[in-house]
Amino acid sequence: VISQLRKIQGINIPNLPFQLERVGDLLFFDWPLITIYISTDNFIYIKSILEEGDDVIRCAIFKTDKHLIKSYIDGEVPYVEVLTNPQDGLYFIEDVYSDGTTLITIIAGYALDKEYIPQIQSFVDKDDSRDFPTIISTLHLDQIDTSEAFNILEEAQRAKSDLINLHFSSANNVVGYGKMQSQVFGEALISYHKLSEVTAVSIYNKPKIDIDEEKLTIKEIKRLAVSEYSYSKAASFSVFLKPIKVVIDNDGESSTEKIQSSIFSLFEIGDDFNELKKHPEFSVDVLGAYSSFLKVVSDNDIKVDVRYANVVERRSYFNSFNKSKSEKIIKVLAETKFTDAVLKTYEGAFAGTSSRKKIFEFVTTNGEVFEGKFAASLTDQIYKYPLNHPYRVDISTRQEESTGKKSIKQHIVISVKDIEN
Amino acid sequence: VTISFKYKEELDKLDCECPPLTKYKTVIRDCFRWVYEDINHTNNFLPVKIINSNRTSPDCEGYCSLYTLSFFKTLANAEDRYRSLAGKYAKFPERYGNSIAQGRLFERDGLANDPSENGHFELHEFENVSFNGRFTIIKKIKL
Repeated sequence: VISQLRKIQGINIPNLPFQLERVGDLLFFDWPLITIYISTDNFIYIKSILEEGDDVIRCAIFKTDKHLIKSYIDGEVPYVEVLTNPQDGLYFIEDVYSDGTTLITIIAGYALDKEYIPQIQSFVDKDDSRDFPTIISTLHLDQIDTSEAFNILEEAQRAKSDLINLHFSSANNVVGYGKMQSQVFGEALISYHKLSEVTAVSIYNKPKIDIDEEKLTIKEIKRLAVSEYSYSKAASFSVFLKPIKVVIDNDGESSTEKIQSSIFSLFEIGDDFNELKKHPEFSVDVLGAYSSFLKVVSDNDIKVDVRYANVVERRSYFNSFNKSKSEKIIKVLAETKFTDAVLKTYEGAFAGTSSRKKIFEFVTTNGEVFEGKFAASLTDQIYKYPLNHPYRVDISTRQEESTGKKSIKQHIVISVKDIEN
Repeated sequence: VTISFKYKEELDKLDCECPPLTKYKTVIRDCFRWVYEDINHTNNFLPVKIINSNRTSPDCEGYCSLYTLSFFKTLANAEDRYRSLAGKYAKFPERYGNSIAQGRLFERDGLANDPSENGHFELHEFENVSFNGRFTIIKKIKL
């Protein structure tokens, strides 16, 4: 007969800092041994019996995630994976005595006594509970798209902030469930930050773009790319970052959206060299930082899913990189050396355009002739530009030095304004 | 002859029919139960609610189950379920023992439900029933 519970060390608190409503039992045998709850702020918690004394019952209450619950109910992971992966790395240990006294102690995830961790792997048993249908319908587990680890927009709404998510997985031991080698994690975070930073500089460090009619200093621009660690999830290994400073430009677009959408449009290009050539907005520094980020993926043979959600616009972006995709893109980036594009404004008229080929010939009032391509943002409007009509155009020019080829100049029309109007 | 349940006082306090008589019948059945290595351990044939009064259940049907004894139809059923539960509740062996005992239920012992697919069933004992000396340990479970 057991009268004493194991001693635990942690922080004692008088009450749980959240209110829970029971959803259903994950395991009922004689009585509920593992039960799912939902908090008033919509987080999912599990109450799992750890130990029983003669006059006391001890359980662990911890935050979990519905994808992990689904994986468990679907028989994909054993219960020990659920128990040992509290979403926020904390357990609330609740000791309920028969006289009604309740003691609550917060402990860190790693501090859970090994005696409480099952030594054998046990998967779900359909006889574990009659509440599975209630759990599945209440948590909408049947609506989870298993190809997506989670819904980034839902996460952003809960966090009440734009969120950037880096979701790592690997077939080697670099990434495990809720674990990741710290040096690779550090390299990946730093390289993604650097990519955001140089993208911010390439977007904002231009005389044309003002915020509130006041140009930002480089220091202020770099600050726009800084994010803070928000939380992590145990689903492979997933980290959430939120911006710490956001500025809104005159079009109402946030700096985070500008920076991240630019990064994701670069991601979209993949290893398409010809498509990359059409985007002079990506500076040499941006391409270099992108290559460094991909090198972390490739060198460590990991898979990284990158997500960004704009909480206000309810927009999200997604892209994914593995070793082979990263290597292909790195190769394309390495083969082509670009100089930074020079953006200049000219007045003149189109001497020729082609909507099909997306090309132009523009003759300035000084007689200078430019031949090149329309930027991707203008390709559906080419038919609107009549020839020999006066326009003011922004043309981006950069030197392309392909390996073993003669250096050539690329001209891309970025914007077209009708002078007469 | 009037028969009464062993924990009648507690069962009568419940708002639901406990046990539900459409599901629970008298049986004659060979069966298996988890017990402590010492077959004379005081908790070997006590319902979970009697062992620890703190144990509770959110609904009346579950609460009713707290006063039953759990049995299995076959040795394999008993062992499989034990391993399944020990992999979800590490201290399970401390509270349910580490051995499997075999015995036979008779009509005079109480009302039992039909075994589930995994062979588990429950018994609401009649008053004055005792299992002392009626079950024999046949296997010690090693995890």
